[in-house]
Amino acid sequence: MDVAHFFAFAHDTWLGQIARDSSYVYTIGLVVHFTGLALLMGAMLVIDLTLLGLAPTIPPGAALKLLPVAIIGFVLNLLTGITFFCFDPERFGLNPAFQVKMLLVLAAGLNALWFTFAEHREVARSAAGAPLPLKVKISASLSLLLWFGVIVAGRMIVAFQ
Amino acid sequence: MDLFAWLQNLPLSEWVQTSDYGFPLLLAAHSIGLAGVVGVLIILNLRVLGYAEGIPIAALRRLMPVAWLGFIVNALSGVLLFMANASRLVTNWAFLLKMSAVLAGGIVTWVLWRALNEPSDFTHPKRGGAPTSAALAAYGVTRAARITAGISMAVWFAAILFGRVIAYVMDHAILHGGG
Repeated sequence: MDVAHFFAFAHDTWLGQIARDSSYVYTIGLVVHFTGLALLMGAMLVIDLTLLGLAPTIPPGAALKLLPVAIIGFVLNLLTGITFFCFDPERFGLNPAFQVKMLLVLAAGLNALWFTFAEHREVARSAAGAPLPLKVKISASLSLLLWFGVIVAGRMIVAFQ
Repeated sequence: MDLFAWLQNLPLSEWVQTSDYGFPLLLAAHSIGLAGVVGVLIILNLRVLGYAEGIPIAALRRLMPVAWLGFIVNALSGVLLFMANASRLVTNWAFLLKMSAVLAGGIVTWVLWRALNEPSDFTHPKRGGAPTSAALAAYGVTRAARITAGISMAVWFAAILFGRVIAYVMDHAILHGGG
């Protein structure tokens, strides 16, 4: 399936149709998208700042208990984001800021997956304030940079229309 | 001359309105600030409500500068965003409700820290010795604090909701000849 067919397919989905049928769907979707942003970023800020050693009284294992909050925020934003995309696939798919945003989400996701499989178990057992390996700190820094980059790229979509 | 019209006609306001990237970049900054202030406060509220009890509340107090930084970024970007559309925003009900929600959020957060004024992660001074993890988690979190945290969550989500609706109220006013 080439890109044009994919755009047509997304446009004609049930999700695309209900988004275009009522302007409330898009408006409410945006409210949910920003609520998801707050959940995801709040959890990631506390987790990543802890991993960076900036909250030395939080046990890393306790901070990582916030991951479900981040995942709920991410899933809310994935679902509402797919709805926006289906509303007008070409408007988003051909927009350079949207393309950059998707690449940043992918990079942030891969960084999170690497941490989950390679480091989570070990880090969760560390004591509060104990020094963590450099690779963990690099991953935490990347996480913050990439997620904030996602926000900026998302807000720049309107500038490239 | 009308104050809001004067504000809107300042060179800075006109730059925000007319430049290609001024408005989106201010909104980007406003969204980053949102992540800082509402993000950290959501985690604080969830913790007070009993989630992730391994995180000491005193540690979250030490992360309050992150929330403050977000608040300052949003106050500054918010002033510029307001200036660019001042005369229409002063009559925009969503904007007025958002400002009310932010003010309420600030007051409720202040009340919450008053309710949490005893450190929750130190040994209870009267009993001595190390507290059990259950005592550690419960100490300092009163029923009043939990209720305040619940209200805080609702108020900050309302700020996001009304913030998002501002543009729709403005567009509606333009489409229908008002504003």
